[in-house]
Amino acid sequence: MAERRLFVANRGEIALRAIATARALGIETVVGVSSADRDSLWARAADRMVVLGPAPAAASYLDQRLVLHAAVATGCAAVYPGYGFLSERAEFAALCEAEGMIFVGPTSTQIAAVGDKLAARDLARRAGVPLTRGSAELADVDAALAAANDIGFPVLTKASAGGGGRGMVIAENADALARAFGPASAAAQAAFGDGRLFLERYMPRARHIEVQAFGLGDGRVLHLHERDCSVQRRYQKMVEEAPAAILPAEIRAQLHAAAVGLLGSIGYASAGTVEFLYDESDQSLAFLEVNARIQVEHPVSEAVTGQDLVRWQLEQAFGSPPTLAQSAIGCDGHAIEVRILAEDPARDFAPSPGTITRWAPPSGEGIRLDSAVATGSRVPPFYDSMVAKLIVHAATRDAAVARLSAALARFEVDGIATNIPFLRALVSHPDFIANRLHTRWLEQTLLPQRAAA
Amino acid sequence: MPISLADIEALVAQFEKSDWRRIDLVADGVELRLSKDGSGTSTAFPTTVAPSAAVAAALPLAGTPSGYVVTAPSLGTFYRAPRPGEPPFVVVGQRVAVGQDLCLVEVMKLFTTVHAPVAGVVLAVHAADGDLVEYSQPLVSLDPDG
Repeated sequence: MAERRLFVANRGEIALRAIATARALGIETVVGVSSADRDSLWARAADRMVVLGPAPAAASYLDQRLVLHAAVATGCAAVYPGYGFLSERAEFAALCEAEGMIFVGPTSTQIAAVGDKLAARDLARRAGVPLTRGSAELADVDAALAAANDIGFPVLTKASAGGGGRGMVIAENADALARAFGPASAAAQAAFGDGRLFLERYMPRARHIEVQAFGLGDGRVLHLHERDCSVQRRYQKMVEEAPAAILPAEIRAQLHAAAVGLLGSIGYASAGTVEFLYDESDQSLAFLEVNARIQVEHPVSEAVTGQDLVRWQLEQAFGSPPTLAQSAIGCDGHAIEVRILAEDPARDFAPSPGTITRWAPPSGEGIRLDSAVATGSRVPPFYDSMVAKLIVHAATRDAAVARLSAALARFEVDGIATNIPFLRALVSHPDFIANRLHTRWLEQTLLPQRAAA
Repeated sequence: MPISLADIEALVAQFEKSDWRRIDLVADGVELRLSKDGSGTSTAFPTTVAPSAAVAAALPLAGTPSGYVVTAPSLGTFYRAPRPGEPPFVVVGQRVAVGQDLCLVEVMKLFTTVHAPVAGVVLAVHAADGDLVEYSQPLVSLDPDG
């Protein structure tokens, strides 16, 4: 039996969440922080804190050998990677496996199998998951132009090595594609050290819909229903909902089966998400990618299912995977999460690090706040700008929107600029209230209207 | 452009010659606070340079401007000797030259040698063989020459 001590290799709310959940399970925690985070709430919450390195993530949170050394030297049996940082680095998971350290997540082989976007498309194809028309890897711009003629414009360039919008350019025609190809490949090279691109048919008014899954590692995969994350800015999600209220029942069943089939085909273990685009006009689904980690937006799925995904991850890692049947995982009511960012919407969402002089979040029935800040917390400039997640849960989507609107109205933060004023406007917009949304709605409709107002 | 140890040494030298009382510098992952009267040095040990540098930076101790504390370039396991059973690199009271090896910090079998940033006499060794040391933790204090 492994010693029940966990190394938390992340920061912010997910670090605090992992520490709290571990504590509830009787698991000791050690957290590795950068020098910028030594006074943070999560550094104080853990049973032990060690300072890995200086503030830049490359010399602290992203240094695989440093993190693993810290975990081994502090006597931990397992490493919790959270999201971002080392969570989807197959070589880090492999390094842990070689040292006999439990990586709380899928195996290194599984991360690698879904991490390469082209390989993931092949997996999806073999598992019978619907795909957009797309190309194989493209050698050069001529190959791209030939492939685009087969697929049909508009097309989207994508990096084979990773997601997050890097290397993604929409091309409406051949000239635009010829101009975009070089810069897109350079962007992918800069972000992932790998400039390989492929093309997909671009769906201009699609929803982003994803299935929350949890693999038991033996081919069995549970799903915790789906989320609609169509409100995005620059491919970054800002609002996430569960369930996807617009889905017809038969499409929903098809979606869940596709996700379970894909992950089951590789014996996937731990929490994972299969992302799709959904075109309401013809009710077509298209596979997007797999995220081999716990995601930022997992709380909305927890709200509607009543389950605790981080608890599942930790219990599985320490030898007690979930035993409940798929039929026991219901979907009750509607949940919405908004990401609270230290960004100034009045200055094109420029980061606004600093010291929080007043932190007064809403609370009450159906309200959950996941954060790792308080009055007096410093938001350092080195990392992601997300400072909290506000999650509401109610019987219906309408009730959840009303609850969210009321909660945002009483959410007060001083000292740093946040996107809260923008979120207030967003959730009271008629399109949001009526759930008339798609992945470009925020950029094509909301932002221009705000600029003109 | 990353700030090198040479840059910090040059800055310290300039500061000592100047009639300035205090410098606070935050740039490129480096925080440097120099003071001649102990003001504003509530932090016991200033944080220093990025761990990629093989040489650890040293800064004047608060209240003891002539003492230099060499700190850990990253978290790791501290070793006083090049190999088990061998004599330590340095002992208290020993005179060291600039660049002389002081100790090792190991991260997953990768050993970083920590060198003396200044010439002087070893005042103290703050960690024991095999200790887990954290980033910026004091390793060796030197009483610099001159």
